Amino acid sequence: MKNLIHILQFEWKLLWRSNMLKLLLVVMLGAGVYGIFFGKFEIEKQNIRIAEVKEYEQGRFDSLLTWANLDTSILANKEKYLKAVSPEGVGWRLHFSHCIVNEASPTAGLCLGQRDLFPTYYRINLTDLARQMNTAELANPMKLLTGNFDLSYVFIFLLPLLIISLFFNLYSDEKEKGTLSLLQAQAISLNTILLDKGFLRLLTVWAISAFLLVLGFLIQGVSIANNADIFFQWLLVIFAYTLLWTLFMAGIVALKKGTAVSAMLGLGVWLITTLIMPALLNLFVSANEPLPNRAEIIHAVRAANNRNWDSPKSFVLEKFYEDNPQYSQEDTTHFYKWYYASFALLDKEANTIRNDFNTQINKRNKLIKKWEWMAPAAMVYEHLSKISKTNRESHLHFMEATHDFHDRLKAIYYSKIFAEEKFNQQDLRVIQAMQRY
Amino acid sequence: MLLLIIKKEILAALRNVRLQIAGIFLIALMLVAVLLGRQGQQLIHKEREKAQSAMYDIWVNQGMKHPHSAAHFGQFAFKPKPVLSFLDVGLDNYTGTSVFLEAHKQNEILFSAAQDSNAMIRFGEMTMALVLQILLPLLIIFLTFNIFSKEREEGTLKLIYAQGLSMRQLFMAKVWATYVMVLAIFIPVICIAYFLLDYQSVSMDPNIGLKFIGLTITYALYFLVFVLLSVLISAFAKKSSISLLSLLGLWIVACIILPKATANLADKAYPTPSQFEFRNTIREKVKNGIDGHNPRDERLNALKQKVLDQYEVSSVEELPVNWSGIAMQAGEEYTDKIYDREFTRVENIFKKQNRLSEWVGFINPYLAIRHLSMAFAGTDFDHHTAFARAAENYRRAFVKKMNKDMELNHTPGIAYGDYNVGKEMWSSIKPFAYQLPDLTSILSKQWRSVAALVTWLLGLFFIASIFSNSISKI
Amino acid sequence: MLRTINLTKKYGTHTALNNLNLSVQAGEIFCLLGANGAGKTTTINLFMNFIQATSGQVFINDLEVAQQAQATKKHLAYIPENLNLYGNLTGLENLQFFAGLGGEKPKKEVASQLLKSVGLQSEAINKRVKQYSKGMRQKVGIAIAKAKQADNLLLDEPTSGLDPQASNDFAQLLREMRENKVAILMATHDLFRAKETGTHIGIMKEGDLVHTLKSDEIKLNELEQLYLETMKTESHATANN
Repeated sequence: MKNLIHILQFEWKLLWRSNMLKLLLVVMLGAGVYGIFFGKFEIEKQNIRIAEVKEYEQGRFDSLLTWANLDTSILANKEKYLKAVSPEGVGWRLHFSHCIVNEASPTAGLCLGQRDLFPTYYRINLTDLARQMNTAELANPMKLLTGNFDLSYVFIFLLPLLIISLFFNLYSDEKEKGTLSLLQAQAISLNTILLDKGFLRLLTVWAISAFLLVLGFLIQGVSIANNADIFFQWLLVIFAYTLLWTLFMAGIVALKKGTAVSAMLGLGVWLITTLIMPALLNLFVSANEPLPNRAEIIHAVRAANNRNWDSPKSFVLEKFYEDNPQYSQEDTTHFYKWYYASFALLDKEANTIRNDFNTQINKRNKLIKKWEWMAPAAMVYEHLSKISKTNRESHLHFMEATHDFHDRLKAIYYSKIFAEEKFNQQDLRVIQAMQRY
Repeated sequence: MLLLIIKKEILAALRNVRLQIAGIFLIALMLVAVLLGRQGQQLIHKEREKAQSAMYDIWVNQGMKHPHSAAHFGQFAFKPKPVLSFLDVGLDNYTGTSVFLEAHKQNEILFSAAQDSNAMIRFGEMTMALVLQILLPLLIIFLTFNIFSKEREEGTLKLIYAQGLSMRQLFMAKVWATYVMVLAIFIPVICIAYFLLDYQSVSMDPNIGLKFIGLTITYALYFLVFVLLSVLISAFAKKSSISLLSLLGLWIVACIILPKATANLADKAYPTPSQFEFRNTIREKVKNGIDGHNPRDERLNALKQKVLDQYEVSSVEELPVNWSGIAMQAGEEYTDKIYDREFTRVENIFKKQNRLSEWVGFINPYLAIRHLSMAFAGTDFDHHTAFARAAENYRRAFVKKMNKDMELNHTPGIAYGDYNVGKEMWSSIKPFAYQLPDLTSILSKQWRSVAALVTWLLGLFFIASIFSNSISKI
Repeated sequence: MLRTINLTKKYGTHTALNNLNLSVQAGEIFCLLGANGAGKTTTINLFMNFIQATSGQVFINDLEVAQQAQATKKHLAYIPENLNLYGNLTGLENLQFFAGLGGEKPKKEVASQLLKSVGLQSEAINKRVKQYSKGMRQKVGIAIAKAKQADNLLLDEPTSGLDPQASNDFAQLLREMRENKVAILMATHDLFRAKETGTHIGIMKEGDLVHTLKSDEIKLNELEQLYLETMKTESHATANN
């Protein structure tokens, strides 16, 4: 222990006095701070867009509530009032849309993940959901391809480079500068000395990554105290990742090769684990496992729609009552009942195909998951985006929530439409409360 | 004498086990990338071709219908996978793959591969382009970082100098020796790639041969830039370790850090509008007119008056043509005009963003080759918008045809459900066939990147010719 | 005390050291003379456990090096031919660092006193070692050896490349250490230094220790004569074999 402290003390002096470390720290800090601000900027942009939509939707709903409150003894108000409280009117002539938002998690700005590929909100009405969910945020594909320079990128790509440059000449530098023989002449074994030196470097890496993480939370205005679990999960993942890299480098140092060879070996491991392996896995999967043709959902919906319109009303309504006996009063002629029931059939059709597609895609992604261990960088990225709820799964959850939201909306609307009742104030408030904004 | 030096350099490199391993590794990686890449390209191409013709069959066999119902029933356009995309996948994983074409509405091109993949996709797909743009420069670095400093440290540089060779000659000899080795790795693999070209799909891709040659030449130029740069740095670095570290540092900045930072900064410099804003503007302008003073009702009334005057009648019922057909087509065209304006506005913002990184090509040759390579492979942003326009034009044409038929043949007074047309009408619409832009159009859009590469090359030759004689011998 | 018994080191068929029996007692300076490749550095390296013997034994204070390599280091100080220290640490810090490895880190005053005692100028003590001359570095090396208070010292060509003044200073320091009952083994090319500083002199050729003599029993010119003749017979003997 005394020896450890002694070595750490002097090794720190040596490290600090070499300009290499200072340069690396400046680069790391610079990249880290840039990444933090970039992530903050990106997530703020998303939030502004969400706020815009929310404000618009809230305004619309508020005017709906105002209409529902109008004094109907005045003739001019009658039409507006009816529009606001008629479930078929709200749904049809206006195709009144309801908004559901996927809010950014507190640390989304530290790891933007896959969030930029997906819509952050859906505006849906009572009609079939499949076609309404086919939207995308405007994005320059060039930017999507290049990816985001956020803090997670700094940790995943640049931190290993810092570790490589701190470790690669741990042994060879002593040898090439001639201090090795004097170290070997001491009463502590060389391995202990090298281990201690490595330990100090690992501590340095941990310190700078923890510092950047704290800085990230502070700059992005995320309270560490309130999000302690997220903070420690981040810390744990990054410490584990850096430890893994330290082990890689320890293996390279143990080979006792020269400076240039060690540097090349380190860079080689970096290339293979962060660039070549993920790219090869992606190539392999895309060459062997085709993605489903999602246009088929749209086609199925339009074909079913065609069939609904070409058939007598009873065709749709009978099927609908079979699935939803709670609404059945055996009425097979009512236009609005037919109109809205037909969308339920479209949803049913679309959901069957959607489930098939999901199975196919899950199979494809499982193949990647199976080989993911070969690309630890991708694993860490997946973990960080999972913690920050910016991965694809988080979006799938949001899509499920949207389906659920749509179902609940339908339940409220249908219960009124099939009972041929109007909305009251209470109903509208329930609907408003259901919207996630 | 020069040949002698070139021969010696090549022999020395060939006998270096580490370089042997690195070279073989790169060749193997490229072969895997080319073979698997072609397999994937074929797979996707065939799937989309199949889907495209299946959807067209459905269109043709949709049965008897009112033409406007058919326009609502709609068609699909699938983005064909460019023949050369197996060499550079470019934006293909991030752009949509198909679009639903229907009346009244410009739908988005949807379903990118990235949306259906997990986080791994963000690490890129292995293609020949990735090897050539990122990994081959690393090999160049390992070939050259001590090409001068080693001879200096071993004293052989003095010996060579004493034999009467100028430093400039020696410099060029080392450059060409390295370049020959790089080409020896590059050319066989690119030849294999040439024989793998899918000639069946060439019809959709004009000038494919020229594009392939263009791609090959730009890569050859890029390698020369990198060789010159690394030999220069190696020549003026005091020690092998310094030249290795500075070259690796440059590589990391140029190939890893700068591209990301550039794309991110471009988005900040030219902010992307939101989908919400984009769609709302279009809706608002369709409702109130492009200038905001020409609402839909007034436009419709004016058109009605014009048509009534034209046929010299006083009411819609008296018209020999179908007024709804005319009104629908007019509405279509007005929306198209507004959509074009807004779409072009967004497209221009994206182009400005991309242009920024094209200009940065003058600082970072990696960005220049990246843009050029994607453009030749048919996987860049311009190709995506070309497809978007082709699909949109196709939509307009068939919707117009439906409206026209309604205008001329749907006699007024006959109920909507009673006027139906059939297969003859549907098959008069030709299947969607999209041709990629030709070579001239690509080059006219990519002149910045071409200029950047040429500037780099000339600049480096110029610097080399001025300074190479002052390379230190000791 | 430094001792070897029947020590042999072979590299394949080449014998670098052949059956060496050597003993250096406390208060003795044993100088090994010989041409390049005679086995001087091999001997030192075997004492340091940098390499392993083919056969035979090496002892430091009755501890066998091959068995207890790490333990022997406590009793051992070493100055290589090219003594390199950490360029970015000062002389004082280098001394503190090396002396503190496995031992007690000397206090600042003690350390700087020690550096002065080996003749390092006081203004140099707090300068970074990358500005030191070779002689200055060798002095820090001696200081490290002294700080360790080891009773054995191994030196590999310590004076090569030193100017005569520095070389003389160095010899003086060795004599002081001898008086403190340190056993010193030094490989050198320098006949004059060996005669002046050493208490015993060994002449090696092709892995064999050919002559062992006490330095006060021979004059410098006789030593030179003997050395040259040994070298000659050596080549003669090789030719005959």
